[in-house]
Amino acid sequence: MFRPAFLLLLTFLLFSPAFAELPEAKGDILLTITGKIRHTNQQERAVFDLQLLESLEQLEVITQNPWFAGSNSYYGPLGRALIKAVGADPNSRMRVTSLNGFMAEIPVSDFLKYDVILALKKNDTYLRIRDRGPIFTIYPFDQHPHLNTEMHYNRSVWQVNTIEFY
Amino acid sequence: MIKTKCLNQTRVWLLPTLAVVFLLTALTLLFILQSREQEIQSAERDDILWAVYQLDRENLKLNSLLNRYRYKQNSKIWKEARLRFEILYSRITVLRHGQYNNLIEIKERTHNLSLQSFKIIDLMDELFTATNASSPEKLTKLLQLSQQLNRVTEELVTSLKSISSQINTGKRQELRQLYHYLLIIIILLILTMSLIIYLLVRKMSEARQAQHQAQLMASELETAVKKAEAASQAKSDFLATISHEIRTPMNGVLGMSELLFETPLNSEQKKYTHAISNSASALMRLLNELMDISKLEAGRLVLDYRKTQLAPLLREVIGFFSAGLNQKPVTLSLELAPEADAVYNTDPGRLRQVLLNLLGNALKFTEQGKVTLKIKLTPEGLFFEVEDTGVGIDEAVQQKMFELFTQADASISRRYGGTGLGLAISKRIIEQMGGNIRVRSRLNEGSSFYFTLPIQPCRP
Repeated sequence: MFRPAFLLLLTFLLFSPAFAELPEAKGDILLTITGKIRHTNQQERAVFDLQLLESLEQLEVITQNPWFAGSNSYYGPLGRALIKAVGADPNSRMRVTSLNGFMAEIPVSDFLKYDVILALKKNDTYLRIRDRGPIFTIYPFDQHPHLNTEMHYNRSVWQVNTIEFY
Repeated sequence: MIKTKCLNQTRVWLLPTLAVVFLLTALTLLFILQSREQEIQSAERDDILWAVYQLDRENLKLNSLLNRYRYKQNSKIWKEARLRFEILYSRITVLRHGQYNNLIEIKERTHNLSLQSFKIIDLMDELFTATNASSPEKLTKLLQLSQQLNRVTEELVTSLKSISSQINTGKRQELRQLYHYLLIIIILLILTMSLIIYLLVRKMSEARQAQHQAQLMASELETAVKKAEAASQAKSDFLATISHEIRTPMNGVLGMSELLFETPLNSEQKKYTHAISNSASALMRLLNELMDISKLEAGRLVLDYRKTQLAPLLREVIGFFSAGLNQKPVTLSLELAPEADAVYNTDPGRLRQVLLNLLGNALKFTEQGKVTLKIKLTPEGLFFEVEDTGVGIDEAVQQKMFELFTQADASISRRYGGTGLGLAISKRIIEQMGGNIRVRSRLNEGSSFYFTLPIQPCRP
C-alpha cells in the first residue's frame, strides 16, 4: 500500500526537472516567495538573496516608464525564470508586496507572455531602496506599447519584498 | 431667366453642402473629444498625489519608529527605522525625477513646498549617515525634522488636491463645452437633413401628380380615339345602308332599260336607252364596291369556302374579257400549270372578283401587247400572277395604290374611269384569305400583280 505511492513520488522526483533543488540563500534575504509553489528552501517558503537571484536567467530591458526620466537600461532575473525556479502554476496569480506595504495582483500569465524582469540594476548600478530597489518589476513598455495602461503601471511594483502565489 | 436658374442651382446645392459641413464639424468634435478622453494627464496627476500622500504616510511611520526607539533603544527598531527612511527617501526621488515633471502647472504651484520637503529629507539623510546617528540629541533632531516634514507634506497634499480638482473642473468644463457644441451641430444636422427629406418628399409628390395628369390626358385621348372610331363606323354603316337602299331602285332602272330595248325604238331613242343602261351599270358597280368596302371595313365580310375546280373558274374569268378585246391589239392568255389544276377549298366568288379586278385593270392600262394570267402551285400555296405590258406604275405610287379611293394618278380616273376602290377591295379580300398582294412594275414597261393563297389541292 505504501510502496506504489513511494515509487510514484520517486519517479516524480527523478523525472521532473522542475524539481531541481532550490539552493539555500546565505546572504541578506531580498525576496520571499510564499503560497502555491513546489520548490522551497526555507520551510514552506522560497527565499532569495542577491546571489541566488543573479543565478537565474537574466535579461536587460531598455524602456521608458513613468517613474524615471528618459529611456533606461534595466537588468535582472526574468520573471519567467523565477516562476520556473519556484515551480509555480502558470494559471495562478501573484500577490506582490513592496517594503512599504503596497500590494498589487499580477497574473502569472503576464510573466509568461512578456519579458517582465525583476530588475536589480538600473544603468548597471544596483538599485538601492532609496532608488526604489532592491527589486523593481519592469514591464517592457517600449517593446509592447499596448502595455502602457494604468493597470500595468500599477503592476509595476517597486521595492518588491514578497510574492505570494495563490 | 438665367439668373434665377443660377439661383436655383445654388439653392439646390446649399442644403447638402450645409449637411456635409455639419457632419464634418461633428466628426471633428467627436475626434477631439476622443483624444481628450485618452489623455492620461489626469492619471499622472493622481499618481503624483498618491506619491505625496505616501511620502506623508511614510514620514508618519518613521516618526512613530523614532519615538519608539527613544523609549526603547533596540537595534532592531533602529534598523527598521533606517529602512523606513530609505523608503521615505525613495518617495522624494519620485517627485524629483519622475515624468511628473511634465505637469508643469503642478510643479510651479507646489515648487516651494516640494523644495522644502527635499531639503528636510536631505538634512535627515545627513543625520542618518552620520557616525553616531542613534545618539539622543541626533534623535531629537531627527524627530523635529520629521515633524517639520509632516507639516510640509500635509500642506503639499492639500494644495495638490485642490490644484488637481481645479484642473479637473476646468477640463470637465471644457469637455462639457465641447459636448454642448456637438449637440448643437447634431441638432443643426438633423434640421438640415429633415429639410432635405421634406424637399425630396415634395418633389416626389409633384412627380406623382404630373404622372397622374399624364395618365388622365392619355385616357382622354383614348376616349377621343374611340369616339372617332365610332364616328367612322357610323359613316361606314351609313354608306352600306344607303348603297343597299339605292341598289333596289337601280335594279329597277336597269331592268326597265332592258325592257325598253325589247320595244320598237328609233335610233335616237336606242342611243339614249343605251346611255341609261350604261350609266345604271356603272352606278351599280360602284354601289357593289362601296358595299364590299363597308363590309370589309366593319370586318363583316364572310368568306364562303367551298370545293372549287380551278380551271372552269379561270376560263369563265378569261371569257368575260375576250368579247371586248377585239377593239385593242392586246392578247389575253392563261397559263395554268398542270399540277395546279385541281380542286381547292376556297371562296370562288371572291377569287373571281379579285381576278376580274386585276385583269380588268391590266387590260384597261394596256394599249397593246399582252396580258397574262399565270397560276402555279408552290410549297407555300397557290400562286397567282397578272402580268401586262402596259403603262407601268411609278414607284412612289406603288405604295399608295392599295389605299381606298386612290388611283395611280388623278388624271387616270379622267382617262380610264373607275372608282379606285377595286385594288383596295382586292387587297383586303386576299388578306382575309391569308395571302398578301404585291406589285412589281416599271414605268412604260408593264406591271405584274401577284399573290399566293395558302391553299393546296383537295384530295379526291
